[in-house]
Amino acid sequence: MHTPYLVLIILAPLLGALLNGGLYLYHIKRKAIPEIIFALIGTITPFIAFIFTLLLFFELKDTGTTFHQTLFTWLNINGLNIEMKFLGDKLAIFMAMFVTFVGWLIHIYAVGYMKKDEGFGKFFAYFNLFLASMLILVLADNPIIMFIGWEGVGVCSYLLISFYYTESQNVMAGNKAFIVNRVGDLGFILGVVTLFFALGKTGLDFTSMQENIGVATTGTLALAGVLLFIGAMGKSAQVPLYVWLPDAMAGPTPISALIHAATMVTAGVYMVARFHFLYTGIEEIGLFIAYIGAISALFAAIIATRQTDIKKILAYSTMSQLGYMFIAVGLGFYSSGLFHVFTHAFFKAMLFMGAGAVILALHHEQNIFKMAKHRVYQPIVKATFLIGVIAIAGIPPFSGFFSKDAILAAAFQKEEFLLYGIGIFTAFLTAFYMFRLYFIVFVAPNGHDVHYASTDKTISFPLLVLAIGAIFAGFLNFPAVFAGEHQVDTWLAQLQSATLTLSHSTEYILMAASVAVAALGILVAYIKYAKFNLEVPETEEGIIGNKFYIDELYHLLFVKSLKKISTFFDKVVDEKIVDGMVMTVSREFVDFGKKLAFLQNGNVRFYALYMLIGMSCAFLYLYTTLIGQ
Amino acid sequence: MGTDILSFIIFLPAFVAFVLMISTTKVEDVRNIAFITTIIILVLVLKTYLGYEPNSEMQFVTNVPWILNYGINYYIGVDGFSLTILMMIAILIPTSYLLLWDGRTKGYWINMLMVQTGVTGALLSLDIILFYFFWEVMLLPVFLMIGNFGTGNKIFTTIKVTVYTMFGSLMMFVAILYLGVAHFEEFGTWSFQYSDLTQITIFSYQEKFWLFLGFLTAFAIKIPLFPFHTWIMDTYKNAPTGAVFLLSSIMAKLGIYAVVRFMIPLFPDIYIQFSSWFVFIGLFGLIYFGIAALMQDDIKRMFAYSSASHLSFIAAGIFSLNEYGIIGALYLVIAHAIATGALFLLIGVLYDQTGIKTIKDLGGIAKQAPIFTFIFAIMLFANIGLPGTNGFVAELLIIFGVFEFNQVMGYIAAITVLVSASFMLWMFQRAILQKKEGPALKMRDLKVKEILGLAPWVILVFLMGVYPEPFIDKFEPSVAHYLTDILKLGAAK
Amino acid sequence: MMEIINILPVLIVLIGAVCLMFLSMYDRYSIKNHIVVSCLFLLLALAFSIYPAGESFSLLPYSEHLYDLLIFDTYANFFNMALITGTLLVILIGEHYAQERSFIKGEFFSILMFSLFGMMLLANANELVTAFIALEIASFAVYILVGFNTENDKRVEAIFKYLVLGAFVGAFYLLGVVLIFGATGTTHLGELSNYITSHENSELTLVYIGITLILFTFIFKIAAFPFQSWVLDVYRGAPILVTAFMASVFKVAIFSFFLRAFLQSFPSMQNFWDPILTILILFTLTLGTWLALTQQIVKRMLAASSIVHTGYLLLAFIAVGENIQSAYSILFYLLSYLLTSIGAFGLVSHIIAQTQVRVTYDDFKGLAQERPFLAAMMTIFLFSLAGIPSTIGFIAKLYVFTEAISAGYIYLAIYAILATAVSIYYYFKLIAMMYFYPKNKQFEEESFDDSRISTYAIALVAILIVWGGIGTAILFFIPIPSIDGIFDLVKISVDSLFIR
Repeated sequence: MHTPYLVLIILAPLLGALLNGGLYLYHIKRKAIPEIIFALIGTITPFIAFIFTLLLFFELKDTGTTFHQTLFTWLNINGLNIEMKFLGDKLAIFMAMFVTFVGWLIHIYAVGYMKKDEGFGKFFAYFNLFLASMLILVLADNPIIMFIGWEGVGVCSYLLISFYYTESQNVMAGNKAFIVNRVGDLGFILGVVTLFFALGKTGLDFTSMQENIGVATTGTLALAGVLLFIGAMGKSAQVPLYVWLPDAMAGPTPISALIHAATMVTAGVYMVARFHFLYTGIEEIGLFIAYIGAISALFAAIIATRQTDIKKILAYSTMSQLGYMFIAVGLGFYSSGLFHVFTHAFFKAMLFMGAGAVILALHHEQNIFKMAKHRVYQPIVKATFLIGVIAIAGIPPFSGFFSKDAILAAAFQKEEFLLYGIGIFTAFLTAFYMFRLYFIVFVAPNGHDVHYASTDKTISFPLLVLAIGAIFAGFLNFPAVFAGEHQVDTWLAQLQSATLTLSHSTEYILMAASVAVAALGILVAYIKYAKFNLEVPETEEGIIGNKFYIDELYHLLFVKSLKKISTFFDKVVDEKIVDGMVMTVSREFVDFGKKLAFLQNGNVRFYALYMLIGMSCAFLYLYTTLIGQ
Repeated sequence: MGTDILSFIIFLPAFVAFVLMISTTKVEDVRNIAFITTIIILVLVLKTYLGYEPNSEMQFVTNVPWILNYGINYYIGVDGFSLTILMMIAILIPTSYLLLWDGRTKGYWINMLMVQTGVTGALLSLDIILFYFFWEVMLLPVFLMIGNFGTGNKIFTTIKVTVYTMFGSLMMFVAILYLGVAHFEEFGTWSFQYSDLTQITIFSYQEKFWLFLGFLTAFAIKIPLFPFHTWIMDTYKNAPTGAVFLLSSIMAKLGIYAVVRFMIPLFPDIYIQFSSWFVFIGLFGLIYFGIAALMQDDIKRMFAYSSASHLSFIAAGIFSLNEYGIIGALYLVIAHAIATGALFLLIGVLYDQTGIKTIKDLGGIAKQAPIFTFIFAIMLFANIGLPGTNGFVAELLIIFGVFEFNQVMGYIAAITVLVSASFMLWMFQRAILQKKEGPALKMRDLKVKEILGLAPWVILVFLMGVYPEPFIDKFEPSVAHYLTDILKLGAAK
Repeated sequence: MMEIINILPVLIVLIGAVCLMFLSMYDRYSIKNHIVVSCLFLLLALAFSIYPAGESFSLLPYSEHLYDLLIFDTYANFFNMALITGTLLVILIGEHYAQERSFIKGEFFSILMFSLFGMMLLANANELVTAFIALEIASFAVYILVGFNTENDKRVEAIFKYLVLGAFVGAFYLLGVVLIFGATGTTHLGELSNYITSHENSELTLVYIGITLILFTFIFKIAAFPFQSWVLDVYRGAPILVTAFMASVFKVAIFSFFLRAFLQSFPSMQNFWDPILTILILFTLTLGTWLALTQQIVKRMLAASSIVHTGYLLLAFIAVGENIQSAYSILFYLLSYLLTSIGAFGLVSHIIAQTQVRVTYDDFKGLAQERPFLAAMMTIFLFSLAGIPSTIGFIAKLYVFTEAISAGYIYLAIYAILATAVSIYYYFKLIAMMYFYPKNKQFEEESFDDSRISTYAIALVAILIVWGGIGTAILFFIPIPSIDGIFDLVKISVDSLFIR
């Protein structure tokens, strides 16, 4: 069914971006425009997008027919027919819903957070652009257009991470994010290309691909699957392409919230879900994905336990949560995975905002122990943060519990007990380090008397809204065990996800187990940190503290060596060998000419001699040719 | 005028240049007149562009005898390929004038005009001798520019680049003459029209191979392909902005164009036989130059490598011998011309302002010149091939092309998304963004006319990136016709 | 009536020479007067030689008096025109130099005319001995001219070398003639060719040897390997005007006769000398290139490069045996080289007229700022020498190489092309000197007036060169005679050799 709204969802923030950008460029020349204008443009446009999404959502709910909107033919060269076309099926709308919604909230939050920043307008331009790209990614009807959004968010994250570009390490972080993402993109592109030719050049839009998927051999499909997943690794920060994520914390907090909670990092999961028709065909690749996810989850969780930077801890927790999602999608439980994306969006966004609020109140102090020292009392922030922590730890009835538990149950049902084991252990760690964070920042005694700090409306409002989400979002997919009817799963039926078929008793046991584990984690954290002595803060030391030295390793492997090779090519191969050869030959040629100058010694006897020699040669020739024979 | 509009487009600059040379001496007048000339040409080219029906035929043809005794004709015309590049040139040059506006001498502008005649002529000539004629002529003004207005060890550079490229051209020259003679022997009449030369059938395999090599030398040096690239490094480093702009954005592209126009149609079978080698060389160059660019400190030298890298990639696309590849390559020719051209010009502005072109001494530009930085960034991302910019469309198509040509090579080709990104961003960080130790550099932001000059490019970058189909429609038929021809002939021989 | 017109040009030049000789006895006639007079005669001669141009003819006028020793055909006429034009240009361009240099007396022009007379005779010669006499007339005149520069201590050496070596090969020429006469009983080209065609190779041994000996002279005079060594020293020692004259006009004259001889008389035997010529060409090109590369003095560089151009000419010459078209290309190349080298040498003479310096590369530094016009002209000449498109040099090379290739000498052609590639280096080096270096301090105070005959003559030559290179292509809407016109002229000239 054709609809004019789909593109509007994208255009709204895009327009916002252009407006803000233009205004800002005008603004730097002559300081004219008050922040409020940027703020209005910046916040209203996402809201419009959200409204349109909502409209479509309801229409979809009633009619159940997917939307299409074709703008124009982007490319059409023998078989490679790419339409600038958008697809509003249930998956896309589901995704777009919370992207726009959470995105909108974060925009509002940003108004408060970025107040009095000289790059205010620029910030909102980037921000809207980011949202627009994300929506392109979500609503795209074919992987190429999807890729446009895909890279769009990449570049926006680059711009936002290196927002304070005068500090070189910020830009470095930006570069890192961009390049590592590009590695992923490389995979993505190749995946698409492989798929295109594997399917015999029959169209590139998802629907036709789904139809023709049978054409290709499993081998090529597997290849394509892996390549595409590399793309997902890059975007969703999975092992081994996760390194950019922690550094990305260099940007202002709202960005962290936007990148990590609602949008960018979930793109990978979404993409895999989009290609479900591909992955259902290739179980073993799915399993591979699941294991990558599990490893990432565990790995990140372990690192998070030793981090001292509040945003870094949250970053690693994000990575680990994403790991869960990949376990789900890898095992074919797409809806469960997406559901976790959904819930995660709420509480993680909230956590970041809370962290941001605290950081702001403490004048950009990010070390949790130092934060604890100069703690200020922000009731709303504290409360919402607690909710978020509980949610992520997976304590019922908070949203995190349902989504995460579904994933664990899935792993169990698939009899991937190793995955299950990792998952459950990670759950324990998660509870532990999140509460460690909470106790240190908000609870542990610091001997000061409490003094209050006011929180900006624009900051507290989104927090509260998200808190509600974090608490109740879980019920949207209320499992059958509690006589729920899996709204989300049913909504996303098109993905043909695997469904839980475990007996209720087993499910109860599993739930009990995960809750117990989470509780244990909290307990340990409480014992260790609730009364923590802030005079002897923990530091990031030891192999875990140093994140297993992965960054150093990468630096050695890729950066250093590459620089060496580069210098070698430039200084040795080019200058010495290639050019050296050319120049030497020519120089030698000239020199030989100089040596020959002695023939031109100006001595007439010699000249006569040459002539005679020449003549005698000629005579010799005559003799041999004429008289000789 | 009528059909001679092309001749007019070709010779107007030279004519104006000549008049200016002997008449006025005030630099401002010279510059303004020259600028107006380019604008007129732009209008004419636009007229041509719109008047061109997208089909495989040669259009706006003029064909009059030049040297009857050897059947050498003044034979010009456009098809999809040349038209697109012609349009590109016409758009690029006026803007370059705007960015070079101040502090040039009379000779500078006259040379710029001369070059325009040279490149346009080479682009439009369909008689191979005529082509050679322009091909050589267009080098001379650049020779003068580098020598006169260059920096550093400019004279050595000038001589080197001239001898180097002329050597290549002369190799081609022999091949051309040999072709002419062969045509004479087979058909009893002299002709150097490439359409006639493609008809020759009497060649042995060896002959064709060597002739092919003759042409290849010329074009490989001009493009440049590995290992014929060493002349561009110092040239780009020492040449003045205008010359570098012309070399990188326009002349190098003519090398590519010439490959498409002459080399491949003349020796399709040799070409098909060795194409995998050339694709390989192209990809090798892509990566090799890309890596070499990483550690460059002289910003212009770095861009020299970066252009080389891109052009190798373009070559790979051309040689992959299918519609995706060739269309992509052509698209990248334009995309790269715009992006690199803009970057070189901007760096020129930067250099004029600060007098610095070493990356480590630069920095903190973004704070002082936001607009400059803004446009710089856009062009940078276009160069990297970011989706939404024209670079992306081109690179995507080339990847598709190479992939269809050979799967493994396709995988290698995709590395392009990494190569330029790495060194470009790093340079961007160090030279433009991050603040610089010590006193800040004096750097003015772009003037209005410079912004106006670059605006069309920025628009083009995005327009061609977001809605490529109309642009591609212009030359797709030519490509299709071309491919079928090649394959037909290739099969026939 | 027709007959007299044919011999008029030669006569006029002779008369002019005599008149000038008398004129020069009186000191009250300045150099200017001499120049004017000689120019008048030359123009007259030129007019009469242009008159029959375009139609194809071949006559033996006054055969009862001249005994068919001289032939007057389009071919000879073409060369007459070329030679007269060349001399005219030399005088015009050299006007400045001639007036500035004290050692140039009136008789200089008389001698010049005499040598021109000799050359024209050579072009018209139809008989070996006549040719020798004509050649010697020309040569001796040139010997004197070479020694003219009393200011230059190198002159004695120059004239001595030239004289000795010239006489040395002259002897071989005569011996060759003797052998041929002994074998065939004639020295008349026409009869000679009849004899050759009527006998088969085994009987022609002596003829072969004779022609080889004659070839030596040819090679010596055009300064090809291994007889090239004298060139540098002689060109160096001679007054630069004479150098220009020798490098351009004299070379043309030499070719005129030997080409005629080979085309008319021994076409069937041509291939016999291929091996020799091939080696000659290879070495000529190589040595010439090397010499040119290593010269520091511009005059010498031009001299050395003239050796390379000889190589190109020989390349076409060797091809004559295969296809007659390459004879056309030789004529065309001669024409282009005539113009270009006169231009180049003449320009140098014009520059150094008022000063002793400006002979090395360094002395050319900054010429473009000082005298942009001259620099531009010099650039054109150098382009033409290097065979850059848009100059006549390019077209000439195009012809020569095309013919060489179509005659099957592809490898020689490639070798020649390589030589060209290198030549770009030493030509462009000079351009770089003129344009890219700041002007030399020591000349700044000098003031030049460039508004004089020499300058206009130079400009004329430059225009001719560019026009020849661009031909009608660029100006196809303007009805001017194209280079095809010249080429047709060349064609009928060569074809006129075979009229009888």
